[in-house]
Amino acid sequence: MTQGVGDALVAGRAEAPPEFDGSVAAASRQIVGRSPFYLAFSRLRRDRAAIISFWVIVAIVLIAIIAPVFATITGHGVNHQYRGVEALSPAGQPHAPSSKFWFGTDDQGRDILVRVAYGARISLIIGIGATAITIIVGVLVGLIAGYFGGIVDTIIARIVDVVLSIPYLLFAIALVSVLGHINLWVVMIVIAAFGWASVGRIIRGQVLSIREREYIEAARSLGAGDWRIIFHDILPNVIAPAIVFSTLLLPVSIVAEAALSFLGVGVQPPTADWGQMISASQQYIDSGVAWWYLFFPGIALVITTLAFNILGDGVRDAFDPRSDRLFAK
Amino acid sequence: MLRFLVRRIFQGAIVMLLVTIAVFYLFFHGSPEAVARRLAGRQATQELVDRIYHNLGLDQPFWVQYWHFLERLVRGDLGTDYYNGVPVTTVLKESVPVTASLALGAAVIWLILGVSSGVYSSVRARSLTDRAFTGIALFFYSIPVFVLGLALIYVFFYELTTHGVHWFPATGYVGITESPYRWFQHLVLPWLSLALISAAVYTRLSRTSMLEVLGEDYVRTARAKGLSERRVVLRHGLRSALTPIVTQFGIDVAVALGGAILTENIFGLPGLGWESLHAINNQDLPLIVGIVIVAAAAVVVANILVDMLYAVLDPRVRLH
Amino acid sequence: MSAHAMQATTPARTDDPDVLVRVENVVKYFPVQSTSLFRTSREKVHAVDGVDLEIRRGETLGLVGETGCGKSTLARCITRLYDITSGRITFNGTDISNLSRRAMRPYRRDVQMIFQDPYGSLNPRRRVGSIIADPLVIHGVGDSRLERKRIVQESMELVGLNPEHYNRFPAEFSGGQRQRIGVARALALRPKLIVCDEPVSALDVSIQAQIVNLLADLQSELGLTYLFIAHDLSVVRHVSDRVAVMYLGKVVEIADSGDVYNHARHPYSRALLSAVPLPDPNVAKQRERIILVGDVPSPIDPPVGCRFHPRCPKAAQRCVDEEPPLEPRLDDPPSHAAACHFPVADGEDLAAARPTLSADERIVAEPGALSS
Repeated sequence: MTQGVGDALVAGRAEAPPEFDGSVAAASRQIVGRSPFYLAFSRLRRDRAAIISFWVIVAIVLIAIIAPVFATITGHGVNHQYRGVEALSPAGQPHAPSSKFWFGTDDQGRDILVRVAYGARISLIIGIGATAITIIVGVLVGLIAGYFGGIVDTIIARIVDVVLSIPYLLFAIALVSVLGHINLWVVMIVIAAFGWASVGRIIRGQVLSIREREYIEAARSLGAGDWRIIFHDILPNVIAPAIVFSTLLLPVSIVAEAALSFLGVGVQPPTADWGQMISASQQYIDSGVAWWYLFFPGIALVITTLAFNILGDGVRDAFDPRSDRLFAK
Repeated sequence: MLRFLVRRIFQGAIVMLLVTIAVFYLFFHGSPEAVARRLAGRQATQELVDRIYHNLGLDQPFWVQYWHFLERLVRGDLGTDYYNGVPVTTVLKESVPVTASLALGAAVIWLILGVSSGVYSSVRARSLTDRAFTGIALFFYSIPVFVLGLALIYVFFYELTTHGVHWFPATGYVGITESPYRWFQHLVLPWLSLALISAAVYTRLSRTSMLEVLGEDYVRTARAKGLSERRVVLRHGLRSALTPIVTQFGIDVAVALGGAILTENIFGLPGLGWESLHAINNQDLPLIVGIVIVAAAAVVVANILVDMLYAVLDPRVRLH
Repeated sequence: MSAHAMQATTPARTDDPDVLVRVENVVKYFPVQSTSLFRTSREKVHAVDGVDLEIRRGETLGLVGETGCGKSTLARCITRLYDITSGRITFNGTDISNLSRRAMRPYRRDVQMIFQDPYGSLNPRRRVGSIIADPLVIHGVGDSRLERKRIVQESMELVGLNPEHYNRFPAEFSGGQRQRIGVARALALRPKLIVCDEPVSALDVSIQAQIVNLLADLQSELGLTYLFIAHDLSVVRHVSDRVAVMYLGKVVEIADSGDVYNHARHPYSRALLSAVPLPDPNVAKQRERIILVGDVPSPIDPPVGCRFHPRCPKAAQRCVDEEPPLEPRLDDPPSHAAACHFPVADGEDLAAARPTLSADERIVAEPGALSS
């Protein structure tokens, strides 16, 4: 006669499982599950560098929002060109930082401090907007390609290949020049038009592995339709990598926007924009006449990018803790 | 293996085809009349503009123009640019060496710099050196290339020159055949602009990759066998860690070869990127298409090479 | 062949009210993944190769076999997670073999599955309450969120979980509790048939007992029918009314539970039984150990004739020439059928048997015979 589990069954019924005590006290407590996001967030909070970066970003956002305040305080409008000798040298060259113009003036006698503050708006708006569009499109494409497979996947994979093989900046410039009219939306869409491919490819990979899991099979056996499975079962599992990706994309989008305006195909003058200011400073760099014209927008760009990069690293480590984290607390 | 190669080449060809169609389509819906008008000059009559328009074949439907292009491509003729009548292949022949000098030189620098600092960092994980390297890498990683380039010019050209040290020129390019010394001199700052930033990427990449490999069981076994730490790291660890690095490198070089537009623009190097900028501004379609083909081909070929290399380096892929 | 035999193998009428599921000559082949440039490959994996089965209302039919014998595939064919290559599946009198996804939907309320892996069968990013409510939402049961929550919490209580935990994530539960969640999910719509695909294989032995008892309690309380798949014979014995043994895509023996364990006719069943670990070393030492030679053949090229013949201790030439039909042997009642030309009699010492077929006479596959 075979023994083992069978005998355990025959010999005695197991007692009621310990987790069910059915007491009234238990019923009155609200039990909140600890979601993976909650856990990641608490890990993030312990990352000192990430917290500092977060507050730096908050500061930058604030500066962008209250940019007009800078204009009011200094008394200089953002696009107002000042002619006086404190603004432009007799030869028409930018004036160094002084008590009147803290960051100096540019080649048209405008206050760089105020322009840098306004420039933050463009960088943040386009950076965040382009990232949002990229993620949404990329995730959708990845979900569809990964889940449905077959011919749909093949076609999308080819398109992704094409997009990734195209020299990005070249095409971005070409696209903008063909579209002619440039505004914030155009720049955002152009940046997103090339970013979605990487996101799509990665998300597709994730979906391919998720698709084989048993809980997807379970959902099918329950009678769930394809779209329900995609949005209710697969999407929640893909959101974490999508968020990590966003934090990586934000600095990339910001730099991309600056590069486009540097080349003259981004936001057009006279709108204040960091990339554009850096571009205009070129003529004064060889001759060394106006270092501040490069320095202030440059440092603003670097600090912003750096802060987003550190925060992005922190978010990535928070979602996927490894032992090699450097600044772990 | 051969089947794999054939399939990838086939896919690559399709991608190239689609890329060229995309370029054509883009400019077809641009404003070809503007091209004709610009060519005709300021005081041209409508008749002249129309004639030029017709001569350049701009009035033909999309597929006809594209077909002509394909016909010529098969013969190896990339057409002539709209404005100066210079054959596109000539332009390419002149600009590719410039971009190649820039890209390949920078690539060598960033690979060596990045991988060595990354590996060194990983071996001394969490030490002061590691933190310093990681911090520096993070900093350079966050500087846009045009900011760095201009900053380098200011510091190394302007400041040094005004203090009597004439080491680095600001802009311009000198062919290697003309004068190797001056070729080098003109490329140092551009190389640094590209390389410092990319090196930062590779430092991070190498560090992560090495750390992952060093945590594997077979490395532990090597140590347990009594091998010296250096041997363990270099011989056993580096081999596997190199795979993602090499594959990333292949792609990065290809992208750089596609024209480092920003760097060439700042340093006045007449390479592919610089030419493409002008071509786009002028809507010079044949030239643009030529450059795009070169750039896209570089990426496609690099992808194929990288895939094959991956299969060679990582036997698991072969047994697929 | 006796008259009894004829009766047992004649399929009952399709409208027999006692039969919930009828599987008739179901075949499921999978195409082999080809590595060539062109997709087509002639080879197929014969996962299920002609199975006839009945599942009667209110019973628990056990299905055992080693890994790769096709039992999981058969289960998924019955629940229509896979489309069958040929054959017929009848559920509650209706032929569901070729129904489209949409047409299958109402039947999904009546047929549910419990999966093997407690860690993989629940979506880690969803709360448990949402997971259990899934079937309700999909089939539009329950008018409001509150109503559904009530049903979910009822189901949780039914399986022995604290209903207040419905907001938690699967990661916060133990393996046994997760299986209970899986059971609660399967029960939410009060199905007629539950297919349990190795529901306790991944659990600790003590937890296995709890879950098996739970399933048994639920069966009597709710009038459920189970198809219970496992590779652990001791578990199957206690839950099942009848047991079917599968080998390489075919059923080789089927009988009432007691008959399979005490009077196994097929050499393979005997071998399986002899391999069940016994806790008492003295008893273990004394029983017969039947060790099968050879590896399990690949389901791509199954052996000719009786599929078990390459490993069978009693193999003879007839086993190669003629595939044995599944029918009662040796004066067994109609409920006990085995597919063997030389069934093992009571008291026969199988370990002492010697095959009359030499190694090279055993044919793994005749060229061109079985590949289609």
